[in-house]
Amino acid sequence: MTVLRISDRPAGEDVLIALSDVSKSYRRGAQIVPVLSGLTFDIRRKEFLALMGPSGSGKSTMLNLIAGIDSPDQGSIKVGGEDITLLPEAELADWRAANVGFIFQFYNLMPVLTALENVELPLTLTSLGRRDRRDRAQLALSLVGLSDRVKHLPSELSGGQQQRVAIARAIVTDPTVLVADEPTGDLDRQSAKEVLEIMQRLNRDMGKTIVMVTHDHRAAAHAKRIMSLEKGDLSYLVEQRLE
Amino acid sequence: MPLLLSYSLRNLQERKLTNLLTATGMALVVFVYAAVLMLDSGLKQTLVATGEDTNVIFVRRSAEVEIQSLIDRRQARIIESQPEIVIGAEGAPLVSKEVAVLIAQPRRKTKQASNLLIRGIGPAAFAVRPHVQIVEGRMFRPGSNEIVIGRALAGRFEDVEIGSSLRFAQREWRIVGRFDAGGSGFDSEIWGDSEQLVQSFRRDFFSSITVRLADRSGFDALKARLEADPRLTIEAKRERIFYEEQSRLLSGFIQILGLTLSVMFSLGAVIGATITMYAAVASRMMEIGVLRALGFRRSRILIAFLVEALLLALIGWTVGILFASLMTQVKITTLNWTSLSELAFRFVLTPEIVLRSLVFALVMGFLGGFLPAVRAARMKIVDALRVA
Repeated sequence: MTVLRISDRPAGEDVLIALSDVSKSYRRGAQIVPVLSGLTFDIRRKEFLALMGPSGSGKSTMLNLIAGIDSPDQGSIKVGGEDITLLPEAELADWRAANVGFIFQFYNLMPVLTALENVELPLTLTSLGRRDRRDRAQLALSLVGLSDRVKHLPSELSGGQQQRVAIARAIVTDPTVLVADEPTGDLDRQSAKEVLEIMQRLNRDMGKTIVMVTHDHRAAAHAKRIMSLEKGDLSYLVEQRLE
Repeated sequence: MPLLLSYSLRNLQERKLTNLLTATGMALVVFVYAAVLMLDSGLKQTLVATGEDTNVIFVRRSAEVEIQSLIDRRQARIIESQPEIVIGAEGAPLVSKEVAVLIAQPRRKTKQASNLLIRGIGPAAFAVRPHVQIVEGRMFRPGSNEIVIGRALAGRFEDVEIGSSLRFAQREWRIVGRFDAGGSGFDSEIWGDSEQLVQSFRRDFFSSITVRLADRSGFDALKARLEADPRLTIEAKRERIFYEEQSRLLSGFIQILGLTLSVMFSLGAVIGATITMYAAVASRMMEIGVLRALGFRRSRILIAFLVEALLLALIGWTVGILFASLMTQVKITTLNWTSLSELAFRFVLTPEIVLRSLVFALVMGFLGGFLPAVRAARMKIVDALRVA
């Protein structure tokens, strides 16, 4: 099956991700807890967006919906014009493999695989041969400044280094969208700064659209736009243009 | 090696102790399963090797074993004059008129009496069965009270060795030699002169007659003619088939008992594997979530965990079959329930057993890994990631 990549689609307008009237609630025992209700907003192509808000405000839920790892109760999520809520499970998996890169708070690397193998992992879903996969994984690791750590296991790397491996893994398939959930939440200030600078570079030099959830104002300050999702009034978004 | 396979393999190495214990459980079951099959195959091989395809044995109709069978001299004469029988170097047809009698002889270790088969053989017996050779001492003299013993009897019974004497049928019988029957059932017998034994046991009939055919294809005509002969009350069988049938009762018992044991043990091993794999899934929720987020489909996750369970089973199988192969050094002596005489045989490992035990182990691995793998594959991505 060929998966259409977002970047292959005719770039008509500036909007890459469009959420319209999206609602999501969770069951907690017998109780239904609404997290997002009727949320509508757009994310532009090549944007670096920081999503802020208190715990439980639904920012991670929103990130998961945009990344296609969770589905809304209602509403549509169009990414590059395609409504991903309509994709069947297996096709959605292929869509993620082709279009989305993930950066998690706790890096989430496979502990038994080396840095290089971790980065290579998403490429095993492509038609690339072994040598090409290795070359691309090496290239991705050099982009995050870890060419000399390819054979190290995650446990042999510092937190900052692990997160950089995770970034290499996220960009190795050259996805259009990067989603990052508290990418600096577990890092010291210096490592956090390095990671954020890499993300800025990916956005600025490589045109990656980045959606980042964070609690940290210093981290958010690296984004081009900051939005705040407030508890209680889920549709209320505060937009703060940095540029 | 594909990255995902290597990922599964390395995860197995991660939880060494748990996986080692699980694999050991599987190895034990494989060992029991393979050992039972090896025992059965050893028994069959010994008894099947006893018979030759070109030989035909005649016993009284409906007699399952030689000790139940009676063939009188008049019938014996008719049988030995048949044209299909090959003529030996000495100009006589290759016919061995035999008498089979059980005697009780104390075992060397336990002092408990067990049945020993004494076979009286005709002069042509060794020509009829060329695979039997005297390997120590000498052949008994015809017309004497000398006997020779099978190779497998060595050390198993009191007084059963070259130079000593056995007392049965009111006579002393001197052991003068030892023969090798190539690991067949004859190796557990004592052979003497047929006429001497018939007289001593005060019989005037033989138990069986074994003849060698000039051409093995002559069997059907010979059988049809003699079984239809109104003067005869005999049944003709290929020697190989006759002895193969003797293994059925014991073989059936070994198989039923052994396979029941294996299945019960395997239930334990499967449950063990299931618990191990559930633990593996539980401890790798985050990894499952990440793999799914990266675009790995549910089916790939299912396969990854199944492969892991199968690898575990493969390790168990390797260890189990290795230990089972050591059993080929072990000799078993037991009573053959059909002939009621003692029979010695070895555990025999055949390629079929290797393959069957491999399939058995992989089925165990599959069953043990299936439910945990399904659980891993069905996990919601956000739930799996939340655990991290």
